[in-house]
Amino acid sequence: MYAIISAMKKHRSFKDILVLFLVFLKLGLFSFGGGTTMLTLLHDELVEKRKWIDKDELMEMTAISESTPGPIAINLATYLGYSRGGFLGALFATLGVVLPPFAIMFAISMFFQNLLSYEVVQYAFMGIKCGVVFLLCKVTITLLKGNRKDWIAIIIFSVVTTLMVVFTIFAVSFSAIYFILIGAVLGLLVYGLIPYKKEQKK
Amino acid sequence: MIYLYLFLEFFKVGLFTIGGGYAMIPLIKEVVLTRGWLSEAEFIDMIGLSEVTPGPIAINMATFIGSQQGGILGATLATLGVVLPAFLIMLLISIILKKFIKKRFVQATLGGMKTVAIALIASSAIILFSDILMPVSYANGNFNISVNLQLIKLFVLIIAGYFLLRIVFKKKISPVFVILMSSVLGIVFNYLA
Repeated sequence: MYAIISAMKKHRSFKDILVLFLVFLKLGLFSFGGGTTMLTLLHDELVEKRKWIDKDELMEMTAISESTPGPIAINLATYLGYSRGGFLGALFATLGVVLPPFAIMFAISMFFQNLLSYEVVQYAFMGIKCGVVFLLCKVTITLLKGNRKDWIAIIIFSVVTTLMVVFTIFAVSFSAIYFILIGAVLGLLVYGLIPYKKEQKK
Repeated sequence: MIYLYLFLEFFKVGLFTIGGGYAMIPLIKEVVLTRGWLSEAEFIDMIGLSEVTPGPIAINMATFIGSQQGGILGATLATLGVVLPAFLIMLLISIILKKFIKKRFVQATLGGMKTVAIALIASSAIILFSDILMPVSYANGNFNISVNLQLIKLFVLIIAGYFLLRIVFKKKISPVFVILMSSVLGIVFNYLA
């Protein structure tokens, strides 16, 4: 215990870690539907409100989270926590994001196993589903506006989006990780080898 | 002993599923059915329950099954098991990336991956939109589109509510608020209809 406290004082102030924990606690509490919903919340909270990271970094990390094991929400919390507050930051951000679903699910398993049979829960969830679709559409537009607009990005975007939708309709199982790998190779070849105008934004 | 199994089985789930979310369901199902922790019907109910509660499906399932099999300690160990691989691997990646993220070739690679990530989000927006409001299915050479009028009305209501609030408060409405508002609208809409 003492070791943790002294490590906290040494590394970052206690307050920074606490803020990190509370922010991710809030994100964990509202991330209905898991990863992608969490992303819309992260975009609002960390990119727009707190400006801890920029849009590009959030998207890069999402790509990495989609290609590493485990739930995306955990991957993102660990990375963002680490980049903000080192090991303790990663630990508390992850703890924050896990705690709400853990507590809620534990309570359900003890007391309300028939939660879904309540009309009011079904109705609230109908609303939440629609709300989540709306949020996803909104964040997609924001992200698209902010992305680079060279030909390779436009091609990658249209091909991957179309294929993912088509695969889903025809129930073809194809892991998104292959698209990310292809994207990585294309990015390395096109942006890395062909001299590219250095970061237009600055 | 059950505690050890809970931890190890969910650790396996956390380690061997890439991409999160629905990609994790098949492996969880396999583990849970072979161990006899849930029946197939219970597992399907469990997916529904995980959807109405916040957080990643894998964590919802680990907590619920852990709690049923081994109380609070079981729930904690199962959840820890499913979280630990993601946490450790991502921690390692974060430490490495911090050193190299500014390098030109790393930036180029991430640049390509980033666009794919945005495309994946766009496609899940389209798929979810269609799944909920107008499910499209393909069978025997025919496309079937069933339009869910109730939900479309609710969807329009939520968008209207969002823009109304934006005009009234003259500032951005946070996603958390949109979710709260949506759940209230869902209840009100259904009881009035």
